[in-house]
Amino acid sequence: MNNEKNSTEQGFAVRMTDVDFGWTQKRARPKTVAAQTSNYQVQNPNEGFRFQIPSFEVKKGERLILVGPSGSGKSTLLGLICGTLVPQAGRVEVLGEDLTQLRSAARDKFRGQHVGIIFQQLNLVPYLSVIENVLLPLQFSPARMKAVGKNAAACRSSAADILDALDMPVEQFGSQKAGTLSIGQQQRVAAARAFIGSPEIIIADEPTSALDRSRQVSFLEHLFEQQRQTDATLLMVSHDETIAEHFDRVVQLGDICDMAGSEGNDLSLKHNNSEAG
Amino acid sequence: MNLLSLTFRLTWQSLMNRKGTALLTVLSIALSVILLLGVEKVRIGAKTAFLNTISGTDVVVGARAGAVQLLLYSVFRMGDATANISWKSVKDIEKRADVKWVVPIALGDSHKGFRVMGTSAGYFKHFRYRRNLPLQFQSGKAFDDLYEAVLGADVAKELGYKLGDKIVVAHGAGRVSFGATHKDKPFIVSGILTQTGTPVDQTVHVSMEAIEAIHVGWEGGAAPRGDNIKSADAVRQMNLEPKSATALFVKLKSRIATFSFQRYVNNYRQEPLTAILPGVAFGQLWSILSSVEIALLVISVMVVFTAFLGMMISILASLNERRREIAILRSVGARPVHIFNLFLAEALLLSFAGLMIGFGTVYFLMIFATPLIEQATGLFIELTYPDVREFGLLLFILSGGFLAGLLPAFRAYKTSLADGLIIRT
Repeated sequence: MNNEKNSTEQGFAVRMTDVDFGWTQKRARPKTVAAQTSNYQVQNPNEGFRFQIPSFEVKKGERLILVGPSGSGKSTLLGLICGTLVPQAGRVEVLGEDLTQLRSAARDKFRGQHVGIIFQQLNLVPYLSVIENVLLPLQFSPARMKAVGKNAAACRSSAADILDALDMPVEQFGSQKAGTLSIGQQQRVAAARAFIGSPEIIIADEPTSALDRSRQVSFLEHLFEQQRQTDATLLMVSHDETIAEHFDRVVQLGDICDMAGSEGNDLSLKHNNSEAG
Repeated sequence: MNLLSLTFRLTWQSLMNRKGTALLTVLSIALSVILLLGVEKVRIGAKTAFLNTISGTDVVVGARAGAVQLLLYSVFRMGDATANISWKSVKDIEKRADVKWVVPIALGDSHKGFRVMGTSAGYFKHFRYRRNLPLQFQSGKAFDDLYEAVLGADVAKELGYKLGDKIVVAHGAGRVSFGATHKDKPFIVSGILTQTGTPVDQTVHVSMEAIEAIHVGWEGGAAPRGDNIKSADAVRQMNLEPKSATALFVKLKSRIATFSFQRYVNNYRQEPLTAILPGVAFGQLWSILSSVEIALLVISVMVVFTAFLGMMISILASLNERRREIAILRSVGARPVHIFNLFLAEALLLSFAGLMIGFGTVYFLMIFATPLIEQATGLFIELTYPDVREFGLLLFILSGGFLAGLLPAFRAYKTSLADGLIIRT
């Protein structure tokens, strides 16, 4: 509770500070801070990968873009903020909750409740309809379902509103199987799914990379409009710096992290498995 | 509850998205269920038919022999009796106060490979098979004249006999008579019995007196010669009271008297006799066949095992192409245990569908195929409600499906942890 209060007072959605990770090190128990990710470091002794973030913060309601080339650790950083990866030391605070202190199940619950995610592509469950895809997060998060009204009609109505706002009228697309949509349409449905139930943080992992320039702009306009309406924090990762001008803040990943070797996916895998219990 | 219904809904929709593979998996499970349940039904049918070869008879009496041997030659017409029962002994038994009726049988001759059995007219009245079913005539009637015969259904069908046809009985029970026949005393077919699915179908029935008649002059064991040859009509004038019987079917007035009657026969002082209770002897005989039962069951279980192995491989094979789906579900808050449940639910749904289709098919086929099977083989498979054993089999199959689903579910669980939201290839 104190964490959340600090986070609210300080207005941080994400905060990483004083994090230092290594596979041979035991997890540190840093001091409580509001919303932060601190001195984040991942090291894979076998592949020589090392990843450190001394300090990184994202304010609530901010539109931030993280820019960096492929293999620079963008996905690992997003995994940390989403709670699917857990550092061995340091703090990753999201909305005041230190994810490193939560058990695996609690992190999953937290993500379902507070974070909406848009992937680069293949965002949707292909055999579900558009409306079913959009409603999916509500099934796993009672809190988000409560936010839209708790009954099925209210949920559908909310999904329809968001889809309409994203130029995907539910009458036209609602019952269509997701697998039959174009990439651009799929990205808009993915955005609708991320925003439904008003999660506080939207994470977008290169959502425009599969779109051509005109569709990129259109998609971003829709995305920002939804973000404005819900006052969510938007954290986008991209290697495309040309879209950076649309954001409040641009952060080069190289400026906030020290990394040696290639991105430590194997490492995160091992580490996450150790957290499974 | 919400998550449970969501799990099954997602699983169902995912399976519908892979209809072809899912259908093949369900079909292979259904086929294995059909085989397992079909074998079980046939086994029970065969056992029931076997145990019900004779009913309504409390005791079978024969010369001193083992219970199984006596059962084999008296009821199944297999093998030969070690000795006969004298007619005096038959009369002694018949006279007892606790005896309701006695049906004697005399075996030893044959007709084109089918056993000829001498018996009394009471045979057609008292003999029962299956669940107390009496013998019925599809045409004609029981023998009335000395030289009349009643044919079992298979005899008439295989040899193409009809009422009024003449048949000649061969001396001895072998398939080949080596020329020793009773051709001077042919029989006329007076009746043909309906199919029973028992050895009755393969028997030519004549009267006890007829057995005596055709053996006049054969006392030495060889065909009569010279003056010993008596014409069929001449024999009619002779005393044809039987001198012996091969076995007796006995019905007691009260079943309570069974053991005392059995003791009486087994201790009969005039000649060594054996009395057996058909039910007990059938049990002993069936236990000899138990290894065949077990072999059939093992083969069926192996087929079910193979089907589930196929299902497991199919789900495991789909795992890699479903990693994106898993990552998406994880991104919206699904926990690894939800992913585990999804895959386990898939195995259960496939197993359940296969089970229901297999189960339904077996019962559907039974409705239509039972009469055909009975007609073709004489094996009567009774259409009954599923019993406890069948429900046990269903539970066994579902448990098999559950177990077969555990490995893919666990692999999906581990994959969901390993991949998180980002697929690594």
